[in-house]
Amino acid sequence: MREDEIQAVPSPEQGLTRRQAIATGVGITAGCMIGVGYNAGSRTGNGPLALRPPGALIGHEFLSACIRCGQCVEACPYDTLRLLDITSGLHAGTPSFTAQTNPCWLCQGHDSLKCIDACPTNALSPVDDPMDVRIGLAVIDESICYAYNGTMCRACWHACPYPDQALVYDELLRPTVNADVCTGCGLCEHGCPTETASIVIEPLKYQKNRRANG
Amino acid sequence: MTRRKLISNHSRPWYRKWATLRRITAGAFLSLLILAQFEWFPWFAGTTSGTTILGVVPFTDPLAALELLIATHSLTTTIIIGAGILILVALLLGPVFCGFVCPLGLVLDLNQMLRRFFRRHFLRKTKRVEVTRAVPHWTRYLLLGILLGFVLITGIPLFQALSPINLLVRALVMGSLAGLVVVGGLMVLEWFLPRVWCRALCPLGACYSIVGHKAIWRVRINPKTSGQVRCKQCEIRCPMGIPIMSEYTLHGHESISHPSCIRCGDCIDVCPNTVLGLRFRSFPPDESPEAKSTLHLSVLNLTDEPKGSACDACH
Repeated sequence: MREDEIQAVPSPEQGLTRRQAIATGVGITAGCMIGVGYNAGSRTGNGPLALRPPGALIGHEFLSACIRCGQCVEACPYDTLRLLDITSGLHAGTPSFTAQTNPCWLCQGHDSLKCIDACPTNALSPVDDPMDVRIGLAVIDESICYAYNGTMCRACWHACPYPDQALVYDELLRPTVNADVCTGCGLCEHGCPTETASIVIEPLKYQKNRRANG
Repeated sequence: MTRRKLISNHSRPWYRKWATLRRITAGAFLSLLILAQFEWFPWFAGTTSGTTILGVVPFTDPLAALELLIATHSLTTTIIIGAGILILVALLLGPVFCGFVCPLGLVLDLNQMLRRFFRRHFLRKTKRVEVTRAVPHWTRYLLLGILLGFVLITGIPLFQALSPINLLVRALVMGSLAGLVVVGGLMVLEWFLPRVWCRALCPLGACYSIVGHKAIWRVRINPKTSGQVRCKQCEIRCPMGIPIMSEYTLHGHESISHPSCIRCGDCIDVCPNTVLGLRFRSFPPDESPEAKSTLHLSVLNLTDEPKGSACDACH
Protein backbone atom coordinates (compact mmCIF):
# COMPACT_ATOMS: atom_id res chain seq x y z
CA MET A 1 0.00 0.00 0.00
CA ARG A 2 2.78 2.34 0.94
CA GLU A 3 4.62 1.85 -2.34
CA ASP A 4 1.43 2.65 -4.19
CA GLU A 5 1.00 5.85 -2.27
CA ILE A 6 4.50 6.98 -3.22
CA GLN A 7 3.96 6.11 -6.85
CA ALA A 8 0.75 8.05 -6.86
CA VAL A 9 2.43 11.28 -5.78
CA PRO A 10 3.50 13.30 -8.81
CA SER A 11 7.21 14.12 -8.94
CA PRO A 12 7.55 17.88 -8.61
CA GLU A 13 10.56 18.25 -10.91
CA GLN A 14 9.14 16.76 -14.08
CA GLY A 15 7.53 20.06 -14.92
CA LEU A 16 10.71 21.81 -13.83
CA THR A 17 13.00 20.08 -16.31
CA ARG A 18 10.67 20.91 -19.16
CA ARG A 19 10.60 24.52 -18.05
CA GLN A 20 14.41 24.52 -17.87
CA ALA A 21 14.73 23.20 -21.40
CA ILE A 22 12.30 25.77 -22.73
CA ALA A 23 14.04 28.56 -20.82
CA THR A 24 17.45 27.49 -22.16
CA GLY A 25 16.16 27.30 -25.72
CA VAL A 26 14.49 30.69 -25.53
CA GLY A 27 17.67 32.05 -23.94
CA ILE A 28 19.91 30.77 -26.73
CA THR A 29 17.68 32.41 -29.31
CA ALA A 30 17.64 35.67 -27.39
CA GLY A 31 21.39 35.45 -26.81
CA CYS A 32 22.03 34.99 -30.52
CA MET A 33 19.99 38.09 -31.26
CA ILE A 34 21.84 40.08 -28.60
CA GLY A 35 25.10 38.81 -30.08
CA VAL A 36 24.11 39.93 -33.58
CA GLY A 37 23.20 43.31 -32.14
CA TYR A 38 26.52 43.50 -30.32
CA ASN A 39 28.48 42.58 -33.42
CA ALA A 40 26.63 45.19 -35.45
CA GLY A 41 27.20 47.83 -32.80
CA SER A 42 30.87 47.27 -32.09
CA ARG A 43 33.50 48.58 -34.47
CA THR A 44 36.45 46.35 -35.23
CA GLY A 45 39.55 47.22 -33.30
CA ASN A 46 37.44 48.87 -30.64
CA GLY A 47 39.16 48.12 -27.36
CA PRO A 48 42.08 49.04 -25.22
CA LEU A 49 45.46 49.45 -26.85
CA ALA A 50 46.74 46.48 -24.91
CA LEU A 51 50.10 44.76 -25.22
CA ARG A 52 49.47 41.03 -24.87
CA PRO A 53 51.84 38.43 -23.37
CA PRO A 54 54.30 36.56 -25.62
CA GLY A 55 52.78 34.00 -27.96
CA ALA A 56 49.31 35.56 -27.75
CA LEU A 57 46.87 35.14 -30.60
CA ILE A 58 45.98 38.37 -32.35
CA GLY A 59 42.96 40.56 -31.65
CA HIS A 60 39.58 38.87 -31.51
CA GLU A 61 41.08 35.36 -31.67
CA PHE A 62 42.83 36.07 -28.38
CA LEU A 63 39.62 37.37 -26.79
CA SER A 64 37.88 34.11 -27.76
CA ALA A 65 40.58 31.72 -26.61
CA CYS A 66 41.44 33.38 -23.29
CA ILE A 67 39.32 32.04 -20.41
CA ARG A 68 40.52 34.84 -18.07
CA CYS A 69 41.98 32.49 -15.48
CA GLY A 70 44.95 34.71 -14.68
CA GLN A 71 47.46 31.87 -14.47
CA CYS A 72 49.86 33.71 -16.82
CA VAL A 73 49.82 36.68 -14.45
CA GLU A 74 50.69 34.48 -11.50
CA ALA A 75 53.38 32.64 -13.45
CA CYS A 76 55.17 35.79 -14.62
CA PRO A 77 58.48 35.96 -12.70
CA TYR A 78 58.85 39.69 -13.31
CA ASP A 79 55.36 40.73 -12.17
CA THR A 80 54.87 42.26 -15.60
CA LEU A 81 51.40 41.07 -16.54
CA ARG A 82 48.19 42.57 -15.22
CA LEU A 83 44.58 41.58 -15.83
CA LEU A 84 42.39 44.26 -17.40
CA ASP A 85 39.42 45.24 -15.21
CA ILE A 86 35.78 45.82 -16.09
CA THR A 87 36.48 49.33 -17.36
CA SER A 88 37.78 47.53 -20.46
CA GLY A 89 34.37 45.92 -21.06
CA LEU A 90 34.54 42.46 -22.60
CA HIS A 91 38.33 42.60 -22.46
CA ALA A 92 38.01 42.29 -18.67
CA GLY A 93 40.19 39.57 -17.21
CA THR A 94 42.55 39.30 -20.16
CA PRO A 95 46.27 39.81 -19.47
CA SER A 96 48.22 42.77 -20.73
CA PHE A 97 51.19 44.89 -19.70
CA THR A 98 52.40 48.45 -19.88
CA ALA A 99 55.83 48.54 -21.46
CA GLN A 100 56.94 51.83 -19.96
CA THR A 101 56.39 50.81 -16.34
CA ASN A 102 57.17 47.10 -16.58
CA PRO A 103 58.12 45.54 -19.91
CA CYS A 104 58.25 41.88 -20.89
CA TRP A 105 61.72 40.58 -20.01
CA LEU A 106 61.20 37.54 -22.30
CA CYS A 107 62.07 35.33 -19.30
CA GLN A 108 65.78 35.93 -19.74
CA GLY A 109 67.59 33.57 -17.40
CA HIS A 110 64.67 31.13 -17.39
CA ASP A 111 64.53 28.05 -19.56
CA SER A 112 61.11 28.86 -21.01
CA LEU A 113 58.48 31.58 -21.24
CA LYS A 114 56.53 31.05 -18.03
CA CYS A 115 53.23 32.63 -19.10
CA ILE A 116 53.00 30.36 -22.14
CA ASP A 117 53.70 27.30 -19.97
CA ALA A 118 50.94 28.33 -17.57
CA CYS A 119 48.23 28.98 -20.18
CA PRO A 120 45.65 26.15 -20.18
CA THR A 121 44.26 27.12 -23.60
CA ASN A 122 45.80 28.05 -26.93
CA ALA A 123 45.44 31.75 -26.18
CA LEU A 124 49.20 31.85 -25.58
CA SER A 125 50.68 29.38 -28.01
CA PRO A 126 54.18 27.96 -27.62
CA VAL A 127 57.14 29.82 -29.13
CA ASP A 128 60.38 27.98 -29.94
CA ASP A 129 62.74 30.78 -29.12
CA PRO A 130 62.17 34.07 -27.24
CA MET A 131 63.47 35.74 -30.41
CA ASP A 132 60.36 34.50 -32.27
CA VAL A 133 58.02 36.36 -29.91
CA ARG A 134 56.00 39.08 -31.64
CA ILE A 135 54.21 41.26 -29.10
CA GLY A 136 54.33 44.39 -31.21
CA LEU A 137 56.81 46.63 -32.94
CA ALA A 138 58.98 49.39 -31.52
CA VAL A 139 58.36 52.71 -33.24
CA ILE A 140 60.64 55.73 -32.74
CA ASP A 141 59.25 59.22 -32.45
CA GLU A 142 62.08 61.10 -34.16
CA SER A 143 60.86 64.49 -32.99
CA ILE A 144 61.62 63.84 -29.33
CA CYS A 145 64.31 61.13 -29.47
CA TYR A 146 67.59 62.50 -28.07
CA ALA A 147 69.69 60.69 -30.67
CA TYR A 148 67.74 62.28 -33.51
CA ASN A 149 68.05 65.71 -31.92
CA GLY A 150 71.79 65.97 -31.53
CA THR A 151 72.32 64.41 -28.11
CA MET A 152 74.30 61.23 -27.71
CA CYS A 153 71.96 58.52 -26.29
CA ARG A 154 72.15 54.76 -26.46
CA ALA A 155 69.63 53.93 -23.71
CA CYS A 156 67.35 51.85 -25.93
CA TRP A 157 70.30 50.02 -27.45
CA HIS A 158 71.53 49.07 -23.98
CA ALA A 159 68.06 47.93 -22.94
CA CYS A 160 67.33 45.90 -26.07
CA PRO A 161 67.73 42.11 -25.59
CA TYR A 162 68.91 41.81 -29.21
CA PRO A 163 71.14 44.88 -29.76
CA ASP A 164 72.57 45.30 -33.26
CA GLN A 165 69.90 42.92 -34.55
CA ALA A 166 66.59 44.40 -33.53
CA LEU A 167 67.96 47.87 -32.86
CA VAL A 168 70.59 49.10 -35.31
CA TYR A 169 72.50 52.38 -35.39
CA ASP A 170 73.03 54.24 -38.62
CA GLU A 171 76.20 56.14 -39.49
CA LEU A 172 74.97 59.18 -37.55
CA LEU A 173 74.45 57.00 -34.43
CA ARG A 174 70.68 57.25 -34.65
CA PRO A 175 68.69 54.12 -33.71
CA THR A 176 66.47 52.36 -36.22
CA VAL A 177 64.27 49.34 -35.59
CA ASN A 178 64.63 46.18 -37.64
CA ALA A 179 61.05 44.99 -37.96
CA ASP A 180 62.16 41.46 -38.84
CA VAL A 181 63.83 40.90 -35.48
CA CYS A 182 62.06 43.25 -33.01
CA THR A 183 60.02 41.18 -30.54
CA GLY A 184 58.06 44.11 -29.14
CA CYS A 185 59.11 43.28 -25.59
CA GLY A 186 59.15 46.93 -24.61
CA LEU A 187 62.50 46.96 -22.84
CA CYS A 188 63.56 49.91 -25.03
CA GLU A 189 60.44 51.85 -24.08
CA HIS A 190 61.16 51.04 -20.44
CA GLY A 191 64.74 52.25 -20.77
CA CYS A 192 64.03 55.40 -22.77
CA PRO A 193 65.06 58.52 -20.81
CA THR A 194 62.65 61.00 -22.41
CA GLU A 195 59.65 61.89 -20.31
CA THR A 196 57.15 60.55 -22.85
CA ALA A 197 59.04 57.55 -24.19
CA SER A 198 60.29 58.38 -27.67
CA ILE A 199 60.38 54.70 -28.61
CA VAL A 200 57.05 52.96 -28.00
CA ILE A 201 55.61 49.53 -28.76
CA GLU A 202 52.64 49.39 -31.08
CA PRO A 203 50.56 46.26 -30.43
CA LEU A 204 50.61 43.58 -33.10
CA LYS A 205 46.88 44.02 -33.60
CA TYR A 206 47.52 47.21 -35.54
CA GLN A 207 50.05 45.65 -37.91
CA LYS A 208 48.04 42.89 -39.45
CA ASN A 209 50.34 42.09 -42.37
CA ARG A 210 53.43 42.05 -40.22
CA ARG A 211 53.44 38.37 -39.33
CA ALA A 212 53.32 37.46 -43.04
CA ASN A 213 56.30 39.71 -43.76
CA GLY A 214 58.34 38.76 -40.74
CA MET B 1 5.24 12.22 21.50
CA THR B 2 5.09 15.70 22.90
CA ARG B 3 6.26 18.68 20.94
CA ARG B 4 9.08 19.31 23.42
CA LYS B 5 10.43 15.84 22.79
CA LEU B 6 10.30 16.34 19.06
CA ILE B 7 12.13 19.64 18.99
CA SER B 8 14.72 18.62 21.58
CA ASN B 9 17.69 18.47 19.22
CA HIS B 10 16.75 21.37 17.00
CA SER B 11 19.93 23.26 17.74
CA ARG B 12 23.03 21.46 16.62
CA PRO B 13 26.33 22.65 18.03
CA TRP B 14 28.19 24.83 15.52
CA TYR B 15 30.85 22.20 14.88
CA ARG B 16 28.25 19.69 13.74
CA LYS B 17 26.64 22.01 11.23
CA TRP B 18 27.03 21.61 7.49
CA ALA B 19 27.24 25.39 7.32
CA THR B 20 30.51 25.29 9.26
CA LEU B 21 32.09 22.67 7.00
CA ARG B 22 30.84 24.49 3.93
CA ARG B 23 32.28 27.82 5.03
CA ILE B 24 35.57 26.18 5.94
CA THR B 25 35.98 24.52 2.52
CA ALA B 26 34.94 27.63 0.60
CA GLY B 27 37.17 29.76 2.81
CA ALA B 28 40.08 27.40 2.27
CA PHE B 29 39.61 27.57 -1.49
CA LEU B 30 39.51 31.36 -1.40
CA SER B 31 42.63 31.42 0.80
CA LEU B 32 44.43 29.20 -1.71
CA LEU B 33 43.41 31.54 -4.52
CA ILE B 34 44.73 34.52 -2.58
CA LEU B 35 47.96 32.74 -1.60
CA ALA B 36 48.52 31.68 -5.21
CA GLN B 37 49.54 35.19 -6.21
CA PHE B 38 52.67 35.02 -4.04
CA GLU B 39 55.84 33.60 -5.48
CA TRP B 40 56.58 31.56 -2.32
CA PHE B 41 53.36 29.61 -2.82
CA PRO B 42 53.91 27.63 -6.03
CA TRP B 43 51.51 24.77 -5.25
CA PHE B 44 48.40 26.50 -6.48
CA ALA B 45 47.69 28.86 -9.37
CA GLY B 46 44.75 30.46 -11.08
CA THR B 47 41.29 31.83 -10.38
CA THR B 48 37.82 30.31 -10.51
CA SER B 49 37.92 30.03 -14.32
CA GLY B 50 40.86 27.67 -14.21
CA THR B 51 43.33 26.53 -11.59
CA THR B 52 46.36 24.29 -11.43
CA ILE B 53 47.17 22.35 -8.29
CA LEU B 54 50.74 21.30 -7.52
CA GLY B 55 51.70 22.54 -10.97
CA VAL B 56 50.20 19.44 -12.59
CA VAL B 57 46.51 18.78 -11.90
CA PRO B 58 44.29 21.22 -13.80
CA PHE B 59 40.77 22.26 -12.87
CA THR B 60 38.66 24.14 -15.36
CA ASP B 61 35.27 25.68 -14.83
CA PRO B 62 32.98 23.50 -17.03
CA LEU B 63 31.17 26.60 -18.24
CA ALA B 64 34.51 28.16 -19.24
CA ALA B 65 35.30 24.99 -21.20
CA LEU B 66 31.88 25.12 -22.86
CA GLU B 67 32.31 28.80 -23.75
CA LEU B 68 35.78 28.07 -25.13
CA LEU B 69 34.41 25.20 -27.22
CA ILE B 70 31.66 27.39 -28.64
CA ALA B 71 33.94 30.37 -29.21
CA THR B 72 36.97 28.65 -30.74
CA HIS B 73 35.59 25.22 -31.82
CA SER B 74 38.53 23.53 -30.13
CA LEU B 75 39.68 22.42 -26.70
CA THR B 76 43.12 21.68 -25.31
CA THR B 77 43.97 18.54 -23.33
CA THR B 78 44.44 20.64 -20.19
CA ILE B 79 40.93 22.02 -20.51
CA ILE B 80 39.37 18.62 -21.21
CA ILE B 81 41.05 17.03 -18.17
CA GLY B 82 40.32 20.04 -15.94
CA ALA B 83 36.65 20.29 -16.85
CA GLY B 84 36.29 16.50 -16.93
CA ILE B 85 37.35 16.15 -13.29
CA LEU B 86 34.80 18.73 -12.16
CA ILE B 87 32.04 17.25 -14.30
CA LEU B 88 32.70 13.80 -12.80
CA VAL B 89 32.53 15.28 -9.30
CA ALA B 90 29.26 17.00 -10.17
CA LEU B 91 27.84 13.78 -11.63
CA LEU B 92 28.59 12.01 -8.36
CA LEU B 93 28.01 14.70 -5.75
CA GLY B 94 25.72 17.17 -7.50
CA PRO B 95 26.32 20.91 -7.72
CA VAL B 96 28.54 20.95 -4.63
CA PHE B 97 30.68 23.68 -6.19
CA CYS B 98 27.98 26.24 -5.36
CA GLY B 99 27.91 25.53 -1.64
CA PHE B 100 31.31 24.18 -0.82
CA VAL B 101 33.69 25.98 -3.18
CA CYS B 102 32.27 29.10 -4.82
CA PRO B 103 33.89 32.23 -3.32
CA LEU B 104 30.92 34.40 -4.30
CA GLY B 105 28.63 31.84 -2.68
CA LEU B 106 30.64 32.21 0.52
CA VAL B 107 30.44 36.00 0.44
CA LEU B 108 26.70 35.97 -0.28
CA ASP B 109 26.15 33.33 2.41
CA LEU B 110 27.94 35.49 4.99
CA ASN B 111 26.02 38.50 3.68
CA GLN B 112 22.83 36.60 4.37
CA MET B 113 24.04 35.66 7.85
CA LEU B 114 24.66 39.34 8.50
CA ARG B 115 21.17 40.14 7.25
CA ARG B 116 19.61 37.56 9.58
CA PHE B 117 21.59 38.96 12.51
CA PHE B 118 20.57 42.51 11.64
CA ARG B 119 16.91 41.62 11.31
CA ARG B 120 16.87 39.76 14.59
CA HIS B 121 18.81 42.17 16.75
CA PHE B 122 18.04 45.58 15.24
CA LEU B 123 14.68 45.22 13.56
CA ARG B 124 13.46 42.77 16.25
CA LYS B 125 11.92 40.60 13.56
CA THR B 126 11.97 37.19 15.14
CA LYS B 127 9.74 35.35 12.75
CA ARG B 128 11.56 33.97 9.74
CA VAL B 129 9.93 34.78 6.45
CA GLU B 130 10.25 33.29 3.05
CA VAL B 131 11.22 35.87 0.51
CA THR B 132 13.04 33.77 -1.97
CA ARG B 133 9.95 31.98 -3.26
CA ALA B 134 9.06 35.19 -5.07
CA VAL B 135 11.80 34.56 -7.68
CA PRO B 136 11.25 31.78 -10.23
CA HIS B 137 13.69 28.93 -10.78
CA TRP B 138 13.94 28.97 -14.54
CA THR B 139 15.48 32.42 -14.99
CA ARG B 140 19.05 31.17 -14.61
CA TYR B 141 18.53 28.66 -17.39
CA LEU B 142 17.27 31.52 -19.51
CA LEU B 143 20.43 33.46 -18.66
CA LEU B 144 22.58 30.40 -19.41
CA GLY B 145 20.90 30.21 -22.81
CA ILE B 146 21.40 33.91 -23.46
CA LEU B 147 25.05 33.57 -22.50
CA LEU B 148 25.65 30.59 -24.80
CA GLY B 149 23.84 32.30 -27.69
CA PHE B 150 25.94 35.44 -27.19
CA VAL B 151 29.16 33.42 -27.12
CA LEU B 152 28.07 31.54 -30.25
CA ILE B 153 27.60 34.74 -32.23
CA THR B 154 30.33 37.01 -30.86
CA GLY B 155 32.94 34.43 -29.87
CA ILE B 156 33.71 36.18 -26.59
CA PRO B 157 33.48 34.16 -23.33
CA LEU B 158 31.22 36.71 -21.69
CA PHE B 159 30.72 34.92 -18.37
CA GLN B 160 34.44 34.51 -17.79
CA ALA B 161 34.95 38.20 -18.51
CA LEU B 162 32.18 39.70 -16.43
CA SER B 163 30.75 37.17 -13.96
CA PRO B 164 30.59 38.48 -10.39
CA ILE B 165 32.37 35.29 -9.26
CA ASN B 166 35.40 36.09 -11.37
CA LEU B 167 35.17 39.81 -10.61
CA LEU B 168 35.28 39.04 -6.87
CA VAL B 169 38.22 36.67 -7.20
CA ARG B 170 40.11 39.03 -9.48
CA ALA B 171 39.55 41.86 -7.02
CA LEU B 172 40.94 39.80 -4.15
CA VAL B 173 43.74 38.09 -6.07
CA MET B 174 44.77 40.46 -8.84
CA GLY B 175 43.68 43.74 -7.33
CA SER B 176 41.22 44.70 -10.10
CA LEU B 177 39.08 46.55 -7.59
CA ALA B 178 36.59 48.01 -10.08
CA GLY B 179 34.79 44.65 -10.14
CA LEU B 180 33.89 45.00 -6.47
CA VAL B 181 31.23 47.55 -7.46
CA VAL B 182 29.25 44.73 -9.10
CA VAL B 183 29.75 42.38 -6.15
CA GLY B 184 28.78 45.12 -3.69
CA GLY B 185 25.66 45.89 -5.71
CA LEU B 186 24.73 42.24 -5.61
CA MET B 187 25.20 42.14 -1.83
CA VAL B 188 22.90 45.10 -1.37
CA LEU B 189 20.33 43.57 -3.71
CA GLU B 190 20.35 40.37 -1.71
CA TRP B 191 19.21 42.20 1.41
CA PHE B 192 15.93 42.64 -0.44
CA LEU B 193 15.92 39.45 -2.52
CA PRO B 194 17.84 36.84 -0.51
CA ARG B 195 20.22 34.71 -2.56
CA VAL B 196 18.80 35.99 -5.82
CA TRP B 197 22.12 35.51 -7.65
CA CYS B 198 22.50 31.82 -6.82
CA ARG B 199 18.80 31.08 -7.13
CA ALA B 200 17.78 32.90 -10.23
CA LEU B 201 20.74 34.44 -12.07
CA CYS B 202 23.90 32.32 -11.98
CA PRO B 203 24.47 30.50 -15.32
CA LEU B 204 27.33 28.50 -13.79
CA GLY B 205 24.96 27.17 -11.12
CA ALA B 206 22.47 26.29 -13.87
CA CYS B 207 25.24 24.45 -15.69
CA TYR B 208 26.16 22.48 -12.56
CA SER B 209 22.48 21.76 -11.89
CA ILE B 210 22.05 20.28 -15.36
CA VAL B 211 25.14 18.10 -14.89
CA GLY B 212 24.47 17.12 -11.30
CA HIS B 213 20.71 16.85 -10.83
CA LYS B 214 20.84 13.05 -10.97
CA ALA B 215 23.74 12.76 -8.51
CA ILE B 216 23.43 10.11 -5.82
CA TRP B 217 24.75 12.32 -3.00
CA ARG B 218 21.69 14.31 -2.08
CA VAL B 219 19.46 15.37 0.77
CA ARG B 220 17.54 12.24 1.75
CA ILE B 221 14.35 12.14 3.77
CA ASN B 222 14.02 9.84 6.76
CA PRO B 223 10.55 8.29 6.53
CA LYS B 224 10.60 7.51 10.27
CA THR B 225 10.56 11.14 11.29
CA SER B 226 9.20 13.04 8.29
CA GLY B 227 5.90 14.80 8.53
CA GLN B 228 5.74 14.91 12.33
CA VAL B 229 6.73 18.51 13.02
CA ARG B 230 5.44 20.68 10.23
CA CYS B 231 7.57 23.65 11.13
CA LYS B 232 8.67 24.43 7.55
CA GLN B 233 12.06 25.63 8.82
CA CYS B 234 13.89 23.77 6.01
CA GLU B 235 11.80 25.48 3.40
CA ILE B 236 12.15 28.90 4.99
CA ARG B 237 15.92 28.62 5.27
CA CYS B 238 16.67 26.98 1.90
CA PRO B 239 18.83 29.48 -0.01
CA MET B 240 17.59 28.07 -3.31
CA GLY B 241 13.93 28.43 -2.36
CA ILE B 242 13.08 24.76 -2.80
CA PRO B 243 9.67 23.82 -1.31
CA ILE B 244 11.29 21.07 0.75
CA MET B 245 8.48 20.35 3.17
CA SER B 246 5.41 21.18 1.16
CA GLU B 247 6.47 19.28 -1.95
CA TYR B 248 8.96 16.64 -0.77
CA THR B 249 8.82 15.48 2.84
CA LEU B 250 5.05 15.58 3.09
CA HIS B 251 4.65 13.73 -0.19
CA GLY B 252 6.63 10.74 0.96
CA HIS B 253 9.50 11.36 -1.43
CA GLU B 254 12.73 9.55 -0.73
CA SER B 255 15.04 12.51 -1.44
CA ILE B 256 15.10 16.14 -2.54
CA SER B 257 15.52 15.63 -6.25
CA HIS B 258 15.02 19.29 -7.15
CA PRO B 259 17.68 20.29 -9.72
CA SER B 260 18.37 23.54 -7.86
CA CYS B 261 19.53 21.78 -4.67
CA ILE B 262 23.17 22.74 -4.08
CA ARG B 263 23.74 20.35 -1.13
CA CYS B 264 24.48 23.24 1.22
CA GLY B 265 22.94 21.37 4.17
CA ASP B 266 21.12 24.41 5.58
CA CYS B 267 17.84 22.47 5.71
CA ILE B 268 19.58 19.72 7.70
CA ASP B 269 21.07 22.23 10.12
CA VAL B 270 17.74 23.84 10.96
CA CYS B 271 15.63 20.65 11.02
CA PRO B 272 14.36 20.15 14.60
CA ASN B 273 13.53 16.51 14.03
CA THR B 274 16.47 15.07 12.03
CA VAL B 275 14.29 14.33 9.05
CA LEU B 276 16.89 15.25 6.47
CA GLY B 277 20.42 14.04 5.85
CA LEU B 278 23.03 14.34 3.07
CA ARG B 279 23.59 10.72 2.10
CA PHE B 280 24.57 8.46 -0.77
CA ARG B 281 21.84 5.94 0.03
CA SER B 282 18.22 6.22 1.06
CA PHE B 283 17.23 6.03 4.69
CA PRO B 284 15.90 2.56 5.60
CA PRO B 285 12.13 2.35 5.08
CA ASP B 286 9.96 2.75 8.12
CA GLU B 287 8.40 -0.63 8.92
CA SER B 288 6.68 0.30 12.16
CA PRO B 289 2.88 -0.17 12.29
CA GLU B 290 2.03 3.50 12.64
CA ALA B 291 4.18 4.42 9.64
CA LYS B 292 1.47 3.71 7.13
CA SER B 293 -1.04 5.75 8.98
CA THR B 294 1.39 8.69 9.29
CA LEU B 295 2.11 8.66 5.61
CA HIS B 296 -1.52 8.26 4.81
CA LEU B 297 -2.31 11.23 6.98
CA SER B 298 0.25 13.40 5.27
CA VAL B 299 -0.96 12.39 1.83
CA LEU B 300 -4.51 13.14 2.86
CA ASN B 301 -3.49 16.58 4.04
CA LEU B 302 -1.76 17.50 0.82
CA THR B 303 -4.26 20.09 -0.13
CA ASP B 304 -3.72 22.00 3.11
CA GLU B 305 -0.96 24.51 2.71
CA PRO B 306 1.25 24.01 5.80
CA LYS B 307 1.02 27.04 7.98
CA GLY B 308 4.55 26.99 9.30
CA SER B 309 3.28 27.68 12.77
CA ALA B 310 4.50 24.68 14.70
CA CYS B 311 7.96 26.00 15.40
CA ASP B 312 7.28 29.65 15.92
CA ALA B 313 7.09 28.75 19.58
CA CYS B 314 10.79 28.08 19.78
CA HIS B 315 12.16 30.55 17.27
